[in-house]
Amino acid sequence: MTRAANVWVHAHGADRAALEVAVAAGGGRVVAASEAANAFVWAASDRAAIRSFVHARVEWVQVWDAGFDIWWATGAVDRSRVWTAAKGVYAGPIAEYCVASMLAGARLLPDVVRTPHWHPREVAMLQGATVGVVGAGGIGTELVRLLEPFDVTTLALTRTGREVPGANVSLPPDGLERLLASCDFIVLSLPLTPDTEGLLDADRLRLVRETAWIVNVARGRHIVTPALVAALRERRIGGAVLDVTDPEPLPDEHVLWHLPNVIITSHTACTAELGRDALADRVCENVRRFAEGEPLLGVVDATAGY
Amino acid sequence: MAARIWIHAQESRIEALEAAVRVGGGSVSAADEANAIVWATDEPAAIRPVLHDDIAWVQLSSAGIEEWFAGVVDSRRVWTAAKGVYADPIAEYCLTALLAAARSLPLTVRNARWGQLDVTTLAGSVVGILGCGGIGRALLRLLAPFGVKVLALTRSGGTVAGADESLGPRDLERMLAAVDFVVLALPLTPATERLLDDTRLRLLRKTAWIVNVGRGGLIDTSALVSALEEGRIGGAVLDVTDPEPLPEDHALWSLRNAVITSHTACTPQLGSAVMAERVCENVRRFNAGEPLYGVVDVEARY
Repeated sequence: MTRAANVWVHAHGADRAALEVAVAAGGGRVVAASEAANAFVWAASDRAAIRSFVHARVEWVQVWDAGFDIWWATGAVDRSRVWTAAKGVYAGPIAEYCVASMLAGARLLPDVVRTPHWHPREVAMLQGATVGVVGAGGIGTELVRLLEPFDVTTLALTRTGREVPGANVSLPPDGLERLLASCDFIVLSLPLTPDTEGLLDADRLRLVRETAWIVNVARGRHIVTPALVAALRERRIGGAVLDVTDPEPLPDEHVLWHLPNVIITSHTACTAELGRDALADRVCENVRRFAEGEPLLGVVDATAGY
Repeated sequence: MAARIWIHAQESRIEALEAAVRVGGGSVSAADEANAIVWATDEPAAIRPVLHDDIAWVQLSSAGIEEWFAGVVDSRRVWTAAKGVYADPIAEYCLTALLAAARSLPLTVRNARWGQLDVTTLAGSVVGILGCGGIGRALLRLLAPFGVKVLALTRSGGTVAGADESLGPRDLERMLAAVDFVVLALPLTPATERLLDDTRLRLLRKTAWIVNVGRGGLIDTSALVSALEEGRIGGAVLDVTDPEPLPEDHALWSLRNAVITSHTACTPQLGSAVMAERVCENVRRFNAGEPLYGVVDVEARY
């Protein structure tokens, strides 16, 4: 089955240029007016504005976000059409960021950077360590690949508990406590849903090892911020590298900015620039699939919430 | 030859080294009855009074041993340095430095406020490694999945396994101009002293970062300070400095694009574990009459 893909691209500057090329490369037609479209590509921050553009003939909306939680909040998502998120698209840069974070944590980088005098200190290594990946989708899979030369033991937790390729141990959600208690590094790379909000609360943070570092590339609300601050201040955990925070952006006066065992990177694990080519590839592929009537990549599951 | 080994080390390290000697098939002995010494402190002058004619082998715990050539290392016995022993922790340090620089981690720590950062990925970048001994090779192994192009420069210019290009000393200028990151992992010798001088620093790209795990003396420090101050290079991650330790009032401490890690790429704790493994293996080899790891070349001075 083939159908016309008349695609309206809502994006700006270089993003828009790259996405329009991708639509055409996938066999679609770029339309200038949203009314003429049967598919939307939404790659801009004004997500709620989609409500005034979307109409009954729009069969499919592709958004540039990998995490769909922010779209539920707009109230624009419905079951009248297919919604696809950029799931797994940004895995390359984000998995690399995770390795950077673990290494920087092991080497106590934030403390070193803030100490302007000669001060040798004991540090740790990633090689030989135990790494827990909570939510092993595209990012987790790519992370396992990057960790291959490090001789680490990997615990990978997923919603279904399926076997994660390359991981030493695959766990279902009820393995979380075990993962927290046994890892030197804990990476959060799972979607934010009502089930995962506040996943790392005060009780669970108490299970984390005294020297362990937490890396969050998912959403700030996976962690209960005041509980994290307490754990960091009391040195009950090694430290945290946060690409996402709650609240976000993190206010200038927030205490997290001044703890010696924290790095905050202002949601730059994958910037629009770093992700542009990968998003264009996904759009190209999905436009082709849409036109051919094949299943799209990254379809949002309303029941699962992502 | 049965190894009778006298161990000179800090109290806290002796037990592990004794165990390593025994596991390797040697015995622990008094200095005057020994035929080999494991010298695990940094005091070149202190070894001379205990060296006697029966000492056939001295194992040092340093990887860089330039200070040992001032009348200590001789041709009357085999000297082994800890070449390559500390490679894994140091290579991991190098990768940390590369990734931290690419991701602007030092900068965001210093800024301590939300804001767009100038970040790149290590993937797709060009990394130059100067000196491809144990550290360089271990770094190549860690870099393998990251999708970088590696230029490896060695004294001999021979093919370095895993590198995209293997270069010799004459290619240095070309390499400096072509890389996003340059890692100094080579020994300090009269030939490599101030290898990165003002002229060569000017060849580097405006965004390039330098990582130094060799010796501080490989870089002309004041030229480096100028390059960093004037923003002619991206930045520097220095585990070693000249002078070292770096005095508290030194200009490098106040530069936003310099990270100084106080010679901790391989700490005593990380190092003792790997050093004990090397001692064990060399004792076994000594007993079996096999070539030892890390033999010092007196003429090449490393």
